[in-house]
Amino acid sequence: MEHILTWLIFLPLIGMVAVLIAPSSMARGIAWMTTFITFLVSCTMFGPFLPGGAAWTGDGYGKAMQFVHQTPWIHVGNFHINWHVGLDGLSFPLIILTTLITWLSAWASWNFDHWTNNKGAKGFFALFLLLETGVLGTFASLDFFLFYIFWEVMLLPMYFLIGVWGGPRKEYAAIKFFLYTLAGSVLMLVALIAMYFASGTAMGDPGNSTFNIIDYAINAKIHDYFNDTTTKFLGWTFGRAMFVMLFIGFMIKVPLFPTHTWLPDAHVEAPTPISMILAGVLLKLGAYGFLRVCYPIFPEAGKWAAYAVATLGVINIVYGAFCCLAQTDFKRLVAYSSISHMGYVVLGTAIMTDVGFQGAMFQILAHGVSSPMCFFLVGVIYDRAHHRDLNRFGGLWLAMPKYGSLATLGFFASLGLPALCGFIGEIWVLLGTFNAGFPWAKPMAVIAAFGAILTAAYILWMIQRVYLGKKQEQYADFPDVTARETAILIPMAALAIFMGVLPKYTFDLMNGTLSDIIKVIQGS
Amino acid sequence: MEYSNNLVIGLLIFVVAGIAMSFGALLIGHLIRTKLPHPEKAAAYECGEPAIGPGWVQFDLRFYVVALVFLIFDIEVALFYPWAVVYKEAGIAALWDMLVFFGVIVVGYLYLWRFGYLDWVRATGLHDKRSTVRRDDALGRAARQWM
Amino acid sequence: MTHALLAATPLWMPSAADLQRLGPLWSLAGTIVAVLFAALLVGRNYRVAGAIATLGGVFTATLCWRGITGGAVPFAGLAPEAAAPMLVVDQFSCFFIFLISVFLVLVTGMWFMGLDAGVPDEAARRRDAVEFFVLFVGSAFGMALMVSTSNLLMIILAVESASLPSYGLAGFRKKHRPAAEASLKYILFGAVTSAISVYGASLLYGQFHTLDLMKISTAIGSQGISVLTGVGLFAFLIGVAFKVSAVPFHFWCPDVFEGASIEITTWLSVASKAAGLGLMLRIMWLLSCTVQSADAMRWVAHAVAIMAAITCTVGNFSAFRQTNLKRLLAFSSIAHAGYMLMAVSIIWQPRESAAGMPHPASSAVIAYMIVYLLMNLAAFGVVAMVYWSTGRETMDAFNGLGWRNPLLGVVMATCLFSLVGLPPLGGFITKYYLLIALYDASLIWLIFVAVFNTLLSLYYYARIAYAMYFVQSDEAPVRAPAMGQFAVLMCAAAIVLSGTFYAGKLKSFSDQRSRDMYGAMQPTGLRVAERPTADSMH
Repeated sequence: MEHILTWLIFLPLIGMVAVLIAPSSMARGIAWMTTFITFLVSCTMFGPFLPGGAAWTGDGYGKAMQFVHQTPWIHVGNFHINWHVGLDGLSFPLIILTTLITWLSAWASWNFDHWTNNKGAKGFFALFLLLETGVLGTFASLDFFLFYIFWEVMLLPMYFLIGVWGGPRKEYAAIKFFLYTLAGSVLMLVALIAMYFASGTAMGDPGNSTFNIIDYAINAKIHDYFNDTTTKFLGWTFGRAMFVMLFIGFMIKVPLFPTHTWLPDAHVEAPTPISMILAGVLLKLGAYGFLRVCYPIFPEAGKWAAYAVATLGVINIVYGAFCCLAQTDFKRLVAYSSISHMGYVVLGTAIMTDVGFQGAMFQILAHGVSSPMCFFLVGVIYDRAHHRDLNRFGGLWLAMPKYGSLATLGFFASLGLPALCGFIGEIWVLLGTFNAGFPWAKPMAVIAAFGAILTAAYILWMIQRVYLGKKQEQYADFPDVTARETAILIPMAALAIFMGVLPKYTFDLMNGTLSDIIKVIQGS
Repeated sequence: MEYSNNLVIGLLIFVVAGIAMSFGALLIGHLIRTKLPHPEKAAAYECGEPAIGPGWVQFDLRFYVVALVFLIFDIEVALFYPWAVVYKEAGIAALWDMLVFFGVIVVGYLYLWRFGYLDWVRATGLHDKRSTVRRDDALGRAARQWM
Repeated sequence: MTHALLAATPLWMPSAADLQRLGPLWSLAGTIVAVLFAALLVGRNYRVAGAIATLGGVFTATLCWRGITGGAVPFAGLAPEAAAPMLVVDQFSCFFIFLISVFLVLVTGMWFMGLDAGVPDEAARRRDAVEFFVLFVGSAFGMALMVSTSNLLMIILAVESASLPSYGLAGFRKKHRPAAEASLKYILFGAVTSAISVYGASLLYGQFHTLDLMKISTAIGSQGISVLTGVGLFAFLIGVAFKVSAVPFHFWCPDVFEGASIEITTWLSVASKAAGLGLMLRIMWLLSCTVQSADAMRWVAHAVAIMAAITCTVGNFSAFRQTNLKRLLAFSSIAHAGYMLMAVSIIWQPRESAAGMPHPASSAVIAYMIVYLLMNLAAFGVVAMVYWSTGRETMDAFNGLGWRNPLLGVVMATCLFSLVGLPPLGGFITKYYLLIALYDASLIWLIFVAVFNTLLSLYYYARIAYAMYFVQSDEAPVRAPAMGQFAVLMCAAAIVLSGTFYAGKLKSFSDQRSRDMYGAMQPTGLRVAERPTADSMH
């Protein structure tokens, strides 16, 4: 398989066509198979990323890209837009995460007919698979234009998935999600065009303009021109203007503090599997954008904005946690906890050190495992109780012992209990921030650590309200988790423990690339 | 530049004078006329006779059709005249030129004729199948023969 | 007296070759006569009339396609002096006439489909088919004239001959009050703007003693733009802005779109804009055809840019509260005219090179136009089919369309999001080419206006998607003619393909057209010749 990555990206699309052709009763089966095969295919790609593999040559950022497939797409006149995909330590773990979580959510959609009266199964699973193609394509793109295309491809399926199959206020949530994200991405579009032209100027010939994300970072001419404070865009410093525009585009997806309000709405209204993908994968795209686009290409602007970005990160952590404390809706609580956890990612990115980046990246993966698990746990209880009011639950552990144990594990992973995945990411970020060279870093680390205490508070309080206490009459005869639900929870639980106990193997996948990026950043 | 400035001034004078004259006439009339409201004054003027019926009657659409047809042929004649004057110099091409022009108009005319737009008593003509259909057939036959 | 005057100037007759080059125009004009003539022979037969219109459209399109691809005749003028032609049929106009005549055929198909699918005034339609097609082809002929002239007088004549049949078409639904109102509004607006336009032309003629745009441009280059020239130009351009429905000359557009029957709405939304923009492109390009006049034209172009920005924003904002789909799409078409006008406003900048790089702006307009045609045809097609089935064209007729007729729902959603400009659809890629052109011309503020408008437009396009998919409806499934469903499905497929696999092809096609345009519109090669090129440096 020469172009295995391209195949991987389009596998879900093939599945989508199959879903559309086949009778609607087979839709969920086809979707399950497609996502499972996609997951298996992505697992065969581990080889080069294991220690000593081809991705480990250490030649510098972008030099050891694996599974590269580059072919001209739009080559007209001065336009050079390529189909250019490839994987390195930054994108590969996210690809695995995506294929795994998507497969598990396809499985979580198995009881589709229960929660929608089987309306439009074809449409649901077709859009679901289209969404996976969009996500995989975004992670794998090395051409900025392609990146943008895939970034936008995700919007439409998500809009319909929330809007058609969502909860009572689905229309509001769907359009809000759409408008927020599009607002960010039109700014990204402007930056994309400006960077394309600027790269031509930097190379001294418009014919050499490029969309190559890696070239933006490692081509000395372009990189110097982009980070030169005398380069102007509308009277602003070019690099900073671009950084801000891109940052806004990505921060809406993360989401960062002032632009976060779409997330709780979208989560509350979305069906469980869609929430899993949204929290587990889509939020990661914003953070991935920081790590792939913003910081390696505009390190000068990154330093200039470090304080502001770190502040936003800390606000996210603390504000998100306080919001959680105030929630009575179970799903809304988990949604706000996502906001709080993504704050660590932003904080780790903002300080631009090795440890910070490692922590951020680990936190991305850890949250990518734990938050879908939490959302699924909420979904399990919602399927049975048909409400999500925290204050009306209680004593579920006694009624559903297996569910109680798995739920505790999932929420403790999210809480950041040592030996579970959440802990490593948070501690790495906090350590990195504490040791960062900025004068404001230490106080911020302290505030962020305070956020960790709040996290413990709301999670423990929630567990107490939902799972502990006396067995309640109306929940007494709830069936425990089914085999299917257990099968979905077990991989995530296992990964949470594995990443928490043996973080080395996760770090091994990405450390090489991350240190290369840090070298690019420090080299400028 | 001076040249165009003069033009601008001229233009301005033209606009201002135009506005002044039209509004001025109205204003002067408003100021100096006697105001004696009277029922007969409010009525429409019909050659000194007492008015019969409202002034807002709908004119028959047939007048417009006739006027339009007249206008087209009027313009045609206006074009014929200079054409005839230079016909000698222009040669045979001018003949074709005019034949095409005339042909287009004739087709339009025949169309009007055939479908009864020239009938004065069209309101009944359209619904009374007998009269129109017969003429339609006659003209259609003639046209086919002519082909 | 007259004789002496005429004899004083040598008499001129066009050569046979020149007449042959006007083929597309002959063909359209001939179609009109043929429809009438056929009626004489076979009576009022709607099938014959429609078939002749279709044949005429196909024939014209073939002629134009040969003109585009042949490339043998870069410039053909028909006038006493070849340098100042009254009529110009070159590859540029061939391209636009091609678009118009293809669209003519498609809309004719739509008209026929409507007959069998249950339009309310079916009997009247069959009866008046001959008049309808005469007016219809007549307006196509006027639009064809619009894109094939560079003479002030001919431009006004062309705009008039495109408008007059359109007035008739807008009010063609007899005893339908909105149609009558629309037609009257259209006439009044058209009359006023063309009066202003004639006034502007007379000012220009008074100043430059010529009606030819190229000569006016040369004169502007040497004299600069005086106040009077500016007034003349703006007044003249108002007539064209009316055809493009640029704000503030757009008020007729929503009423006409709502009142006219749906084929006419479709027709006007694309063909009238295509012709207007083609004309606008030609005017702006010719007026800036020398280096000096390009410099002088800067302010006029800036005014056009501002008008484009306002057109876009007003169009989008006005669409927000519409519940009638035709009216909503009317405002959307105003907004899209604004996007395209943005590109027109940068045509004055010398961006093309002698090496054959086309001007990005004209290329962007051409690509945009092609995809816009597809999007509008499919969107109006769906609206028409829903109307034929339910008798309503309001938003509530679309409730639950995604379940009542899944195919129409998917097609409509594709069109809507392509109109927004979302990747990977054709609407995005053409908008992207447009933004690239704007950036290239360093009109970055206009880029921000454009992307802000994209965001605005999402809201109301998504409202239709919302009605189609998120609202439950117990209404009966929408029955639509199979041919119509197939046609709109093909359009949707073309929209998707033009944004993905054929994005490059689309670009190179429009580049080639725009290159032709330069070849065609530079009989003397003024602008390129005066700029230093790579070859002349050595």
